[in-house]
Amino acid sequence: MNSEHPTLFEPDRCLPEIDLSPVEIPPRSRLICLKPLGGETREPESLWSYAHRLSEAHALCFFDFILYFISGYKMLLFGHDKKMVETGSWKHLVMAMSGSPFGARIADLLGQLTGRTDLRNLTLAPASKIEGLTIRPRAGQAWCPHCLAEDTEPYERLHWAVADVTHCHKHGVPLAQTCSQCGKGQKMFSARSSVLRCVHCGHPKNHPGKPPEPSDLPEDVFGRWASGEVAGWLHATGCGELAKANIGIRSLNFDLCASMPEINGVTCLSERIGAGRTTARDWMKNNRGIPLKMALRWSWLCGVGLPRLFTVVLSLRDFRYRPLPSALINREQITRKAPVPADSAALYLAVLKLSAANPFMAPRLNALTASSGVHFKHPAFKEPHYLKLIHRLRERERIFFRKERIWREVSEVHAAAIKVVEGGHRLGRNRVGREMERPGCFCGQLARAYLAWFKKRFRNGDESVLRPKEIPLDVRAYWSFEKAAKTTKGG
Amino acid sequence: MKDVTLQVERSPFADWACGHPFYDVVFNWIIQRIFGLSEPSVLLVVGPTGVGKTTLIAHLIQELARRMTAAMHADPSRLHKVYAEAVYIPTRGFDWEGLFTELLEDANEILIDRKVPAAWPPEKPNLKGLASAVNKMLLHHAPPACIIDEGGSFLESDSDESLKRTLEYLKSIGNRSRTHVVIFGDYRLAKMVQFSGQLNRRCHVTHFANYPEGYEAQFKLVVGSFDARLRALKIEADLTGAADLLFKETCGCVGLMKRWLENTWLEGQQLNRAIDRSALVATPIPVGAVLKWRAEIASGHEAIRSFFEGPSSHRK
Repeated sequence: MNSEHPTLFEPDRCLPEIDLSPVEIPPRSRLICLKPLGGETREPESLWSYAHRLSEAHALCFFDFILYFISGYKMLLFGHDKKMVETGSWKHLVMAMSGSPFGARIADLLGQLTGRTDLRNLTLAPASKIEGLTIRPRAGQAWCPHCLAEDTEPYERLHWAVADVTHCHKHGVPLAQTCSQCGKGQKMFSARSSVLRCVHCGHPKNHPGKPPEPSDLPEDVFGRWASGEVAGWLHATGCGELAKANIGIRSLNFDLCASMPEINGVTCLSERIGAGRTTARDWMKNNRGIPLKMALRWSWLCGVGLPRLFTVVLSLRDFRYRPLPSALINREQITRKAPVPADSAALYLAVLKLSAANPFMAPRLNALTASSGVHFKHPAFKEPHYLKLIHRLRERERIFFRKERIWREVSEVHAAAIKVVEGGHRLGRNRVGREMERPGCFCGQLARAYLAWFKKRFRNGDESVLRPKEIPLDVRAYWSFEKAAKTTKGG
Repeated sequence: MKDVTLQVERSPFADWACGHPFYDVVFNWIIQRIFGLSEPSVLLVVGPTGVGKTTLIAHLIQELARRMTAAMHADPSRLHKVYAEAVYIPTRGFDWEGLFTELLEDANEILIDRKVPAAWPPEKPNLKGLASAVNKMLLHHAPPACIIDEGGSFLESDSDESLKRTLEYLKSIGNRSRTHVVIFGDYRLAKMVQFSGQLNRRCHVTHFANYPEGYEAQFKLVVGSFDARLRALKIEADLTGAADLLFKETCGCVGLMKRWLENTWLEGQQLNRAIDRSALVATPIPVGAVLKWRAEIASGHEAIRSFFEGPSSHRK
């Protein structure tokens, strides 16, 4: 018992006045100034999770908190105070809460209401400022049950809100997106939405117990690595380390494929994680940001870390081939006939060599097999980069021979017509045909049309038609080449 | 047209109080416990009607604000106090809902009518939700003290058992939210004092007493301060000559004396009369009220005495 009875007096003391003047109290925040979680573990909390904790701290359901409190600040959020179809509108807005730019607006509003200045770091807004990069927020919820089980105060990580993050880098397991009991997906905005419970059945999302051994499937290996990269990166952007990170992506403007013959050698090995088939230039041309997933693939293949890929101007020397994990390669070798990288390179070089030797024709299969030593049934013949090149050469060949045929007919008709005119004969079709080197070829519409044009100009007294025809350089070059090699197309 | 608006002057004792021996001891006792105890506790301040509890609360709130200014600058959601008055509704018993609502309103909480006890399972807003909201509010806003006035209303419970549960619940609020709960009340609270010893060590009791017989000299000092205040405001007064009358009629309660003096001042204004013994005699306190106070104080003193020194049989 701790009690006292006041009995002491000091009778001669002068009684002082009590100071009841009002004390100036600093302005108080409207909402509780909660500290965001995950700062110490380098895994920052998402704004959605923060808003959930905030509503719980105020003993409110998240649904009510958004619908009856946050919606009261429409003017600040949207710049208007018009009536909205409340639940439907907020459903989509809450889904975009961790992304940008709506996430940034909500973060600013909550910042004003709580008195915190760091809430933008709980969204993808800082990372989205990076020019040329597109980060998509996830539409639903995703979580690692083991991370939630380990948390003292469970919270959703910001990198789980990124659509391209599929795994937990800490436990190596794929992120859960459906309830383990009822198997249903989790809505982000509902009267029952919670960080730790299933929206539908209330089953806990955290699974206590030992996580399973990480699998060596290519998806899992890449997913784990990508998740770790994104988590570290978001933490860094949150801390402002990459605040000026908007210059780097321009350095990807050169064609990455130019530095990738050796990478292309393993293209089909890395097919599941994807290879750099599309270049940065293509994306920049279309004024679109590079999807995060593609940036991660490049980061993996080129061996350049994601922050470096976006923060510094890179040169070719920065790129180095990063082999895939041995488990991944071994598995691929067992499950499918993998081409030997050297064969792929040899075939590619043979194509380049033969097309340089005869720029008018695409290399033929027998010439390629003879030149590269690669059998025509080898999988290297089905590699995308080879097929792309050979298709390009074949298309070029088709266009050129069409042009060459036209010029061949026109020049022959022209020469024969001049001979007929010089002989003083009438410019008849039969006469001109007889004067041609290969009379049988005068049967096409093109020759007839040209002869008609020639006759018309000649009758009108145009002497210029009697001058020798100017043949394009590449056609003349091909005819010279043909004469020297004694080869003709199709003959 | 003639202006008929009644011109009323402000009382000379408005926003003014003087410290006096009993007051200072109790005030220091509360401040020491709020900032000195490591464990959250229930502090019961018991005293008769009109002893100066309201002034003490106002002073306490100012002092808490002064001491918490630095902490409030560091954390924008920190509060220096939460305050509410306990209310008893005759047909419904003690109004817990009213108390919780008042505490939440004082803390400027949002959506008070939508408080739920937990995020899962989903429930409709209820009293449990309000209680949970108060706990969470105290935990997050971390005021050094939750001040509840008119604590005597808690005593309007049906039985001793329900009173015991009430005190247990108040203690648990403090425990869960790590906040001191300071309850001010009249001698009805003395009954709660008797339970507090049985409950546990986290209940602390103090008696904010009136000046009893034998303390006339000390009371005269207080009367002197009031006299000085009136003279400072150039109001004609002679209270020292009426100190014995004031002591006798107010049972040594400073708050009651203040009220009586204010009443006499108002009456004297119309008659242009000085505040002295004759003016006080002319505006007497009803005898019935004085007798009631005396009886209340006597029983309250006995209850407190038995709490501190044991029952009278034990003392013999």
